[in-house]
Amino acid sequence: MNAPSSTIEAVATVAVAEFTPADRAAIDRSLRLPVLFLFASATGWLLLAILLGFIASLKLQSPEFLGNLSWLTYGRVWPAYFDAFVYGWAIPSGLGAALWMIARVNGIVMGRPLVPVIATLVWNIGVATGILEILAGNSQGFQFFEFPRYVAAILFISYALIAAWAAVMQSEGGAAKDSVSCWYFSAALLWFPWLLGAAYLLLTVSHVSGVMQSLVAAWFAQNLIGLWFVSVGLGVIYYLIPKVTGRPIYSRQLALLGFWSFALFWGWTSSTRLTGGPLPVWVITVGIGASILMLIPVAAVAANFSMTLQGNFQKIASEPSVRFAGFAAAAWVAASFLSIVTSLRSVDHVTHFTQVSIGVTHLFIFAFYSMAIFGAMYYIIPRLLGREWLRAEFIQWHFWGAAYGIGLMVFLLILSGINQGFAWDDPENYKSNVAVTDAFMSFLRVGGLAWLLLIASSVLLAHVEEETKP
Amino acid sequence: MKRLPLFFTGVFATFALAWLGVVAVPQAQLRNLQPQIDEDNTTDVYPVNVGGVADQGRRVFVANGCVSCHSQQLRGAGTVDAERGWGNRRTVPLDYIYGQPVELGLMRNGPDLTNIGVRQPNAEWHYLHLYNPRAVTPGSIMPPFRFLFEKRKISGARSADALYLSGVDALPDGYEMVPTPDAKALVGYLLSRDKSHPLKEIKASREGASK
Repeated sequence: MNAPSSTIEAVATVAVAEFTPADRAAIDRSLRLPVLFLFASATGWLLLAILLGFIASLKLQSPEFLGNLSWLTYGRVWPAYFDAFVYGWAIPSGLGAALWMIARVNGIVMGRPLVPVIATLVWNIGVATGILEILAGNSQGFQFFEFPRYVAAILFISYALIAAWAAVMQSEGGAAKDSVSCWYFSAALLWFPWLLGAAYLLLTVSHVSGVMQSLVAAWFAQNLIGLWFVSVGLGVIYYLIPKVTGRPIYSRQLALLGFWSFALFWGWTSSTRLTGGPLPVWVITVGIGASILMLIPVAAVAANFSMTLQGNFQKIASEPSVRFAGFAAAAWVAASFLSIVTSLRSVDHVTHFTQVSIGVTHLFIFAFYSMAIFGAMYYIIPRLLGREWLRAEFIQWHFWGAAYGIGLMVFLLILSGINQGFAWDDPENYKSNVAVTDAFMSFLRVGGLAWLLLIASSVLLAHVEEETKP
Repeated sequence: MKRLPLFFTGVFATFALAWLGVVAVPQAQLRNLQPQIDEDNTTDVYPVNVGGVADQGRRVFVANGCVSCHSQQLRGAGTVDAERGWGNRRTVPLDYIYGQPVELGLMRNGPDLTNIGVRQPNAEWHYLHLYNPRAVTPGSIMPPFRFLFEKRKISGARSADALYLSGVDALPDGYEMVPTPDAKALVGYLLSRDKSHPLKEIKASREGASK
């Protein structure tokens, strides 16, 4: 890499759109219905998920709150929150953003909009059924894989329908262009069904035995975070930053390094979710090694983002979509760094089994991924509708509500988790479990404020979407 | 993209490679675990597939997401897990060869339950604790599981398994609170939680050195 300027030239053609405004309008028209439907239903799920999470947090503080309703017992509401968030909000919204960006980059007019619309409808019915089944007490008992197997099958089939539609449209649309964001999107679109299918076969059909169930479940959960959340989130940021700054990605080599080292290492980090557990020690050690190697993609991508933004940081203040994307990029670096640090055995010894892991998960799925998707939605929806947002100040408020809400939540979770870990270890508490819960709950009691901010900001998002409709 | 096939090969290969390392190879290593037979004069077999009510109870445990707050895995001597009396040896894959699903747990908002059947073998305690955790452990944040119990009018003699409720939970005269089949199964499952049997493989690897 002797001359960065030549690198910029090499990718300059990628970032600058070569299509006429009429082309772009045709693409947007073709995707208006499916993408808006994905975004709208996802936003509804986001609101519902956060409400479920809020109920769960209240129940942790006041266990008698709604205490006699079996459907709303903590152990059902808590996984229902995560699954509504992941399958209701995160995957459909990411799918909407990825499909639109792929079509725009490659100049594809997507035909047959009813296929993805029907598939999305089926997907949403599947998610709703799954949430009801969890609340009714029919969970499978694996993290992020609680839905009964027939619901997993519904999700798999409806997802496959959308992916197949996208693949057919893409192949009819002509040559695919080389774009960093499309690497991440294409990979995520392929990885997700493999992941879901493999977990489905191993956990519910062939029934691997003993601790292998836990290892497969850990592999599924970790890869869901990496191969969907991280891939799609980074793809969105790679798309938005050059678009809004009007500059190409700083370095294609760095982007290549960041993508392939991430693809190579991430899957191996799965076992760090079970450090200290009843597994062969080598499995855990390999996971920790891979986790440390994740420093390479994190550094490469972070350097690429900041070099691309160099001299354009004022755009973060002026452009809503980049403000969200910038927050997301910073949160991704923080989440990656924390997950590397907490994978080390000496740290894990304290933080394992505590709220710290939930804090890191929220950094990934909300502070990073969801903020990136919000940015994408604020960029995409006006183009789909052919009109600007009616009230920009609402977008500002949404940003600050979401940013402070998730910031406070992650801060409290990590602080209370560290306290929780040390409290379990404290000989003074050996005779009392309640002393431990007191130690970490004192921080979580403030968490209601974070939930309220998140609820308010999501209501704003839903409202902004609603009032912008023609 | 000019090198599309190469790209997709890479995407597939990286996924498959990690799957081989994290899933397939451990599966090959752990697939044929057999129960241990003690070589002392007892010739005890461990673990034993208890099945029956414990398996039904496992479903109640899973249905109510108990794993959201309770782990069932121990990290061994020299760790807080042993100091707290949860169990004096670490758990190993052999401990988990029976039962579906295995609920190792990722969170300890409450205590570990690996050996709860040994630590608290009293069924009556478990019923009262499930009915109202704070009546047994003041300050606990465990949710109540009153929906696993049934309030009944006493007809004739009081049922043998009716709870002895007092204080705020006391019932009007002529009524009793009895565990449903789900509650009985759940307590049966909890009482069957016992991974305290000594293991040859842990003596051999000098338990205590490992964390």
